[in-house]
Amino acid sequence: MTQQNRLRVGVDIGGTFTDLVAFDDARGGMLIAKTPSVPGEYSAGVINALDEVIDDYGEIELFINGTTAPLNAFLERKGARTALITTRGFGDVYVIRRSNRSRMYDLHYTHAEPLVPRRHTFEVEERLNARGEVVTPLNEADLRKIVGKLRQAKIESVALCFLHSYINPEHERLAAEFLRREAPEIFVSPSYEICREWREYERTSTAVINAYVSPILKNYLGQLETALTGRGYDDKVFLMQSNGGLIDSGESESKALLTLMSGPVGACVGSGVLSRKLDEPNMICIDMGGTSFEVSLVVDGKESVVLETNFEGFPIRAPMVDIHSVGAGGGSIAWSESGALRVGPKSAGAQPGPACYGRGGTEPTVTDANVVLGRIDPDTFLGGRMKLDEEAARTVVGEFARSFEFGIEEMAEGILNVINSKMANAIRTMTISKGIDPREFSLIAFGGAGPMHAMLIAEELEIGRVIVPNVAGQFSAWGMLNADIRHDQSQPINLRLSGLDWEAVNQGYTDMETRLADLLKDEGVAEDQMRFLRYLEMRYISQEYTLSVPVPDDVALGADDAAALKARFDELYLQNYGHSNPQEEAQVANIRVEARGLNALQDQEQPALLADEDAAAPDKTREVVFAGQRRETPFVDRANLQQGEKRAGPMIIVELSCTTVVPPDWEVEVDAMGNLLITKTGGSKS
Amino acid sequence: MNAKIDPITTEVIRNAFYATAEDMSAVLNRSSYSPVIYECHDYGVSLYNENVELLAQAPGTPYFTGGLEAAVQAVVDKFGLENMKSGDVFAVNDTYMVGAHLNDVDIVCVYVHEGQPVGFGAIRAHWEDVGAATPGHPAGTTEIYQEGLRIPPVRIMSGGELVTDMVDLFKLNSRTPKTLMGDMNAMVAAARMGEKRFLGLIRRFGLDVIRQATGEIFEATEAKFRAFISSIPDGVYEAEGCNDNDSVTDDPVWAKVKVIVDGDRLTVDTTGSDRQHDGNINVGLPSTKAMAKLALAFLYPSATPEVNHGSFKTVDAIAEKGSIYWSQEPVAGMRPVPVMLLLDLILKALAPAIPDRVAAGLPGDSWNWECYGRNTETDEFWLAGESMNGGWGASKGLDGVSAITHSVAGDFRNVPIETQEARCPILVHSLRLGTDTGGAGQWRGGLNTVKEFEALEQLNFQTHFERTKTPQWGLFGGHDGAIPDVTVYPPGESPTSGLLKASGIVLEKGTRVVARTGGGGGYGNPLERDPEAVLEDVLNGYVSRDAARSVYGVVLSDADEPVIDTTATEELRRSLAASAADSGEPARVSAEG
Repeated sequence: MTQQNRLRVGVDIGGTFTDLVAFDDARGGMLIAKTPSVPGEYSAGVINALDEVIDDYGEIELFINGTTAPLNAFLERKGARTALITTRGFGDVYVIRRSNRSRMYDLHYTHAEPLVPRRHTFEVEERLNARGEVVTPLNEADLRKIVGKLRQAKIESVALCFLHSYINPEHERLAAEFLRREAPEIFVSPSYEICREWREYERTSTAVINAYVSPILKNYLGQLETALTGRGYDDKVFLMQSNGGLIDSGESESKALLTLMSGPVGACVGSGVLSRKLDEPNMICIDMGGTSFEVSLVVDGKESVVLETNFEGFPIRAPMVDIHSVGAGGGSIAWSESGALRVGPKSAGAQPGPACYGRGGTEPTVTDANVVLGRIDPDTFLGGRMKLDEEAARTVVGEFARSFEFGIEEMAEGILNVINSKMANAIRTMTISKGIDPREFSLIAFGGAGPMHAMLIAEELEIGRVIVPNVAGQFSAWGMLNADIRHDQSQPINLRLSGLDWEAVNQGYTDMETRLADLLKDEGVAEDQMRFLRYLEMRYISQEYTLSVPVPDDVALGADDAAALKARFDELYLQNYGHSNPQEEAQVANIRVEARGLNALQDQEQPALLADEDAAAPDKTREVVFAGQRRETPFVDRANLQQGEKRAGPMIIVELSCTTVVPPDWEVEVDAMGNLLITKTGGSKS
Repeated sequence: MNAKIDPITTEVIRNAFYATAEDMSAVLNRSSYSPVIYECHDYGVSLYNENVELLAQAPGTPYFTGGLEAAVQAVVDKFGLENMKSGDVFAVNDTYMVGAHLNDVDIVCVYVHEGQPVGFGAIRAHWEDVGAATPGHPAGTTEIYQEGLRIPPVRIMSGGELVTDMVDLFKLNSRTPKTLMGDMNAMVAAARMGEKRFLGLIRRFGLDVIRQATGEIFEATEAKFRAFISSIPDGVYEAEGCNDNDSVTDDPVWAKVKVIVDGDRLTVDTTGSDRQHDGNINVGLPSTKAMAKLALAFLYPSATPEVNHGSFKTVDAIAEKGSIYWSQEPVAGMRPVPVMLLLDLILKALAPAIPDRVAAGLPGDSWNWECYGRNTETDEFWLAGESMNGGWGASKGLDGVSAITHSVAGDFRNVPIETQEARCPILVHSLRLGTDTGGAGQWRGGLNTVKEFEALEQLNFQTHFERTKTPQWGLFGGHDGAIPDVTVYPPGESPTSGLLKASGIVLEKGTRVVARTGGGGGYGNPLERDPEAVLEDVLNGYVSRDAARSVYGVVLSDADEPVIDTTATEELRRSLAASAADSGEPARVSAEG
């Protein structure tokens, strides 16, 4: 690190905005920027954001990116033209899926359109049995014919998934090698490189998504690196992965699947970091935008991760931070049905948006209700970049109120009561499904509208403490800057615990760690910053899903340890499912190593925002309605709040792209890092 | 009653009812022991008020819609509301009382507020084994006593304490007592989570407000459903069909349905259906009534209709006592195929009245096969098998989905081949969608599944495959879907097909089995199908080139990537239409998977 290299930059590209947070070591502070995203050419949006705060790209020491390119290609079905190659006899596994209907009363049920049509699925002669032994060898002549067909169909990317490859990937490896040699222009994603778990449909779906989006990521990274190099930054680019860790962009090119949730995950990582710094081990993390409300959890200081996700109708079998999305946001529309009130899930979205956006929205939304109640200052929304039409909001909410014979403010508070209770219900169900009582958690809120509703949701959940982090509006970018580099590697075992070859297990761990250490070294991680966490992935003999049991990372395991490991597994099982079955034998599905290159920032003091003092808006007061009462309420620019300052609600705290509503009976305190710690001081539910 | 309660409070309460059911479901999913519950979601979760009126239910198995009500009512009838106290939990499974087969066990928990019963949480879930003549789904039973333990409404928890005497009895009657206990505990925990949430809601808003809101919620829902029924032209609509047999004789089992639409009332009358049979093809009245409700939920113009007590106030079903739809002791009732047929026949009957809402023949069975034996090394008993999936019926503007779970299941998943081969000594040679098995039509029926596997050692084998005598029908000129079959190919011997309801078959090592399910019915005249859609089907292998020409009248070029010959297609379609008019029969192609 030279004298000039002093900037660590995190950039989070969202669907609408590109957010930047930079730690400036020389000035000992933090810089932020927010610019519109440029769909189709996301790298241009990144450069625009960088240009706002950086003059000399040579000053950048570290560049971290949360990208939406693969996700958007997937959502908009603009991924690579993809084919699938399977074991002979099983080409229909991908279109058959798991045969379930997720909407029980839908007589006209359809699946999400498959990413690969059946006609681009090819079968090759080969077969392994359930023990991974070769029943029929791989037929290269079949593959050769398939190459011709791939070219004829103008295929750009291929997923490979053979039966039982999770236990023996040899045939997939050979086939991938053949294709890469014979058709180097086609991207190849064999399932074993991305997922070594049983259940062929889930593994196929995972490999197909990876094949579908990887060429997109590669293309994006090419554009980005060209632009950065041209401006004087030619060092590594790190990407945020869905599992909460960073990966070198070169390494990620063939594994774009791992970056699918790149954007939102940054905020979960940030929550985990704050959880440890604030000594708040358990947090419910909420992010509310225009159309959706996202919930994730931090438990015991760690982001809650799931091993399998169903995403837009497709299973993904890879570790991902567990983010639940609910159809509730600022754009959620209030409507009536047979005389009953409903709010959402229909949303006005960004176009036309809420009526107060003045873009032709004619239905009352949650944001309109907030404007009517005075909780949003129409003049300072989005840092004053977007002037809101208060009259339009009053008109649509007023008309709606008349249809129910309500006063306008009563109606507006009613709309918020309904949406807040809906969000609280969603949080409660998510925590219950994990055996957690939400009252034992604190709430952390970020994103545009999260802090506007957080205290009201907290009251519903009987949570008395809410955190609104510093740079709440760009919190994902902040989180990325604090993330570790992370790689996971696993090796299938599929043996009863009692029948394990312990020598092979220990050797497996050592081999994986050697490979992972090389990888980390290539990414510039010093040896003393490397951590290797070992796990046994175990299940009861009769069951399908595994739990990760941590094992010591520095001692060789042996048969003597089996009883203790089994007891640990039973205990974890009890924690996760509310019961366990110590009499039943356990099976070891995989051994896994999680490798981390530690991020030194996590242990350092977090830099404060380098705010432009003059730009801070002067404080003012407006009338805001709380529980039917109009109250003279201060509107304070967050930059004007002092560290250690304590103030009682009601109060509205305004910052770039984020508004925090502190209701009466809540008190806000600013901590040393600039976070708002908001606590319930008394009173009953509003 | 006080003045009308405000719609904001009503909506908050309505959402809370649903959230309560969802929370119960989350607990059950998280803590149940059997994959059939946490993986296949073979359960129903419902919340009732003290009048046994449905407040909300969580997504699960549609078959259980309405059926759980009978369980709660049976508990109330036997014990009386006045004798219930906080922490009382009941169990019941008797087919004649609650409708379903004995493996579906209902747990009912009474919710008590200030000493007064104010509601119930009820959960129905599939228990792996409740004792029966053979493990799994025994075929060929003739009395309910051969199908497992019958449980009348009994208390399994009293004031929060487990009634261990009763639970011991359950355990002693099951081949898998540990699993049974795990699942029962999960169901009780789920029901008690509902209690916590429901009583919390009552404390927050007050019982009066909850009751008023409940009334308004029912009224609003009822209004919507009444309006929908009113939109169906009045009339008496009829349909009939048969199940293949009762597994004892090969005689068909006839179902006759009259759907009477009179203003905003809809009645399903099964009078004229067969008297109850000796074999296991009889159902309890609650299941019959549940099908009328389920049919309405299916037909209601929303993919996620609101289902509560208000939804079904003007819907009913009638059956003759002693018929297959209201069976009496002691006939067997293991298989729910007659209600699957009934559901389908209700849709068929209504097809002329609401052609845009109905669908052609749906998957009419769960097409089960099972293998069992003893592990050659450990001598442990093992049982493995699966429910197979078929083609969904087409509807106006929409092809049926292929390889999908049957009509009265929901989020029920198939068994992965990798899991199956790891647990059962078979090698699967292929799992395919059967070409041309979806009924042809302007909109095509979904394709069936065809599975071929080989026994790697000597195995015992049993099957239950239905609906060959009444295939999944086409509508409005659409063709029927393919019919199911099971064929066994012993090594070096001639094959045997039609092993549809077989038990006690021994498969020698090396024997191959090919199992085919039913295809979905087609909708509308196949000669009117968009030729581009036919081409797409040919490219995907869903329809053969032969069928494209002979059934759909679409002429394709011979190339690897064929194109449509528009002129020849128009000509062929004209001549096929003319010859069909002459013969009065639509063109057919044999459906071979």
